[in-house]
Amino acid sequence: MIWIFIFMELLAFGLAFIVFSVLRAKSLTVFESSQAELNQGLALLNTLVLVTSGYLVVLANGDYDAGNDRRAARWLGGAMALGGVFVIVKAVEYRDKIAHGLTTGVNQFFDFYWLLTAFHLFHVLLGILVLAYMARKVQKGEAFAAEDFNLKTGSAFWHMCDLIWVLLFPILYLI
Amino acid sequence: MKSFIIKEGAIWLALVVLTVVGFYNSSEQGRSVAYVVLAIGLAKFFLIFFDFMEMKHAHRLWQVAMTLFTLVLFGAISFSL
Repeated sequence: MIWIFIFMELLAFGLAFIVFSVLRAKSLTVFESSQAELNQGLALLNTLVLVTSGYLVVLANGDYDAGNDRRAARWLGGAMALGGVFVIVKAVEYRDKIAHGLTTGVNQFFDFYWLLTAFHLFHVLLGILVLAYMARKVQKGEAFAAEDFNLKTGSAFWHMCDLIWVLLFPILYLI
Repeated sequence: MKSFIIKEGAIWLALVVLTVVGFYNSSEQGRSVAYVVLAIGLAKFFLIFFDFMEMKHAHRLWQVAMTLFTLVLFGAISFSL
């Protein structure tokens, strides 16, 4: 079930990326000048943060499979903390954009910028809640009730956030 | 567990290196640079997808479907550059 959900999410973002790329080709000057207003350094930092949190989730799964529940919970805690760092960095970026009047309605580039990044941020916030739930269950040594909602599926959701960002980063910030 | 940490750590390191290389490449202008940055993004996507998400253990059909979807997506984006 989670894989169908992940596929649908990737499909939705994928279609948005294609529409963005087509519009970019039509108004290249506007898109390039708007992209120059973005903070690529903060986006790079957030990419490294998400990739590292994904690694910690992988380690949590390894320890959970090996029966080291407490250590697995600690890795999940680390991944959550990095998720928090991502949210803070994104908030700093948003504050800067709003202060410069670069909100929705300025042009198509910023419409997509806000739509895509905010929708992704919503997934990250949801992912942090999922990781918190998983960490609590793992730390207490409780079994997962539903087969469709366990450490593997929760981790897959977090990695999906990572996957979307790995697509979003070059398309929106770099090329 | 130690070998697992090292093996997955190597994947993480590859992702970090690819991210930094893609970032510094993007400071150059031009369509060929954009293709390189996209190709790096594609490589990162597959590393996360197959290793971190453990899709390497998934059903073959699912792997093929997702790989085709990703290639079509990146192809469409590259085509519009």
